Amino acid sequence: MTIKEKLTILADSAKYDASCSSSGSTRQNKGGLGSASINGICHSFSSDGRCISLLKILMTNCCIFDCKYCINRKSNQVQRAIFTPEEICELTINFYKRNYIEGLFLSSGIIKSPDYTMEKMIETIYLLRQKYHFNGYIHAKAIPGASEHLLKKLGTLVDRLSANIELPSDNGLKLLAPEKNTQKITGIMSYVKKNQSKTFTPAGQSTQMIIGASKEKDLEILKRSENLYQTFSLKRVFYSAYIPVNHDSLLPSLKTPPLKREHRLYQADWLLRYYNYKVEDLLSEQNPNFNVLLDPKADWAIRHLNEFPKEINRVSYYDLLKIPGIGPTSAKKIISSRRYFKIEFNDLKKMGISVKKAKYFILCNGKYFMNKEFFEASFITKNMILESTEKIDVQKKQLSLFYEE
Amino acid sequence: MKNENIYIYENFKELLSLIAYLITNQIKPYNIQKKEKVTPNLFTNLIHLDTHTYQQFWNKKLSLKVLTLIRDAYRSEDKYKELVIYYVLLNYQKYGEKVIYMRNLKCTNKLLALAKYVHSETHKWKGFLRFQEMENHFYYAEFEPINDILELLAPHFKTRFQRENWLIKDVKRKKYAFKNENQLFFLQEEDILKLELKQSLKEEECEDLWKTFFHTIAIKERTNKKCQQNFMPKRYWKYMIEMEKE
Repeated sequence: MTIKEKLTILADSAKYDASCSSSGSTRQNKGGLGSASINGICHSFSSDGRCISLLKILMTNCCIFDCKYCINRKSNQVQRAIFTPEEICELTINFYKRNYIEGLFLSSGIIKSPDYTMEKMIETIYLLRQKYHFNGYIHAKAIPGASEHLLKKLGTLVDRLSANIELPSDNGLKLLAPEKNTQKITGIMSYVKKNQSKTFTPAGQSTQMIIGASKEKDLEILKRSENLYQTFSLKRVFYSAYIPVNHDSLLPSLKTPPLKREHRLYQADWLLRYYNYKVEDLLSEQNPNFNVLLDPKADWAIRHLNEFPKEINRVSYYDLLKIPGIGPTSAKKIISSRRYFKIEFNDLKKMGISVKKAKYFILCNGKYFMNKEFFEASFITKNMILESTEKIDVQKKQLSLFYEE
Repeated sequence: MKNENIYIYENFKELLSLIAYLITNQIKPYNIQKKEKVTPNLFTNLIHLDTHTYQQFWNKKLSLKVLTLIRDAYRSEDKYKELVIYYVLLNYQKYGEKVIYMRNLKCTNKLLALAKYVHSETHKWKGFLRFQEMENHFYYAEFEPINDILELLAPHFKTRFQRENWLIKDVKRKKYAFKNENQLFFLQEEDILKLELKQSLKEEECEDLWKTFFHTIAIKERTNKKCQQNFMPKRYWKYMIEMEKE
């Protein structure tokens, strides 16, 4: 099998992993090749609009497990391939020197045993660091069930180590990935959390779950994320809209991947990490799924209109963040400017801050943008939906997907 | 019709002295332009002054923060960048360093926007630049940035590729960054004697592998070319070997 054929098989198998981030590490170049960049660098964007930052491949797509949702499950008749450590190193180095990539993202199917697979991965990455003197970014997937001493070894070689939780609930995992279990996965996470330092996975850990393959509601999914962030200090939880690759009576049959739902979950995830929101602010037992028409923050603001409108010349940074359409960048701009002058509505435009959503929720120097009697939930909801470009885009996208089938 | 005065300068240093002169003598310029960019017409007066006595004017006066901001904004190709810098410095005389936070001033916003544009373009090229491997393990890249950012970009590759020797060419400005052993040089067209670079034997195969990876990694069920183009506008595609040219 040629390198090109192997690359086709092993990149194709790796493409469902959502993470491609190369941020969080400050690994320096000590006379060898490459360095990490703290903010990460995108080197290209594939035709699905996702960033390409790392050479994302599997070491092998051979696997002794039979997870229902996975294209590489044991019972599938697909072409199998395996890269040798040298082949992976050569590819990484050759791509890196031409500035195609920021580093390597190595994952693998499980061959022989979890320990054997991890040993092979360690051998590869060790070679890359020691023989090729590679100081670029490396993200490795830990294999559930591998021994702790291997985890330790791998963690000292890479920038980020991750284990995928795969499904939002333990029941989902039991049903669809019977050979994996939650304890094995969270075991890896707590080990990484305990040992994380400048020399052990400096860029921390992340995880991923598939959305829409099992029956969980948004509330349950987001609660799981919140719990993961709190318990294991994860850098990111990635959500991956389920794409049917196998036929199985246990799996739902979807025409299109639930991209809109994935999008809402990412928006809410951002609110948890950067905006001080809690899951119960956003969802409840009575209201367990996100509004399709409004983003989670706007939805929250309309349900809490009594906290608005907020005077942008006075309220705190965290109160500014509660205003729909205002993020950390805009909030910081407002804070640093208002010491020197009173901010009016047209100043916001001058400052490059979009008021499309924000205008309904703010006062500028005591003034509302229109007659105050329109400050009322149904009027604001209606107008925000009308002004939203988001909804139309998604319909178009789904339509065009539908016609391709 | 009244004649409009356009003040001419030759380099960044001279621009700063010229602005010092204008501010000291309370002259409001119609525009300020670089000598080689000026296109005279009937209604404009070109004025090129000797302002070397003002060379020291800003020394110790400008904080490093403000100076860096101005220097970065100056790298943009905006038609009125000199006027923006003039007005920022005029207000600087009045307000001091806090002028860069006074976003109710048009010139402040414009200056910050220009500097941001320069920084974000530099960041994008850190990812989108493509080197080719030439014979003797030499690497070569061409690119066409909108802003004049070669000097900001090159140090990134100097730390990253320490063992490799390379040359980056800004095609439109005919400028080069040349890294040889531990040193980085910035060169003009006339400094480069004659470029005779031949691709290494491995180059074609490697480019083919990269294209294979690029196409394979996309999920067909999620195709979204508009999103792809938002993140990676077409003006970057010319030298990106994985993108199909129209």
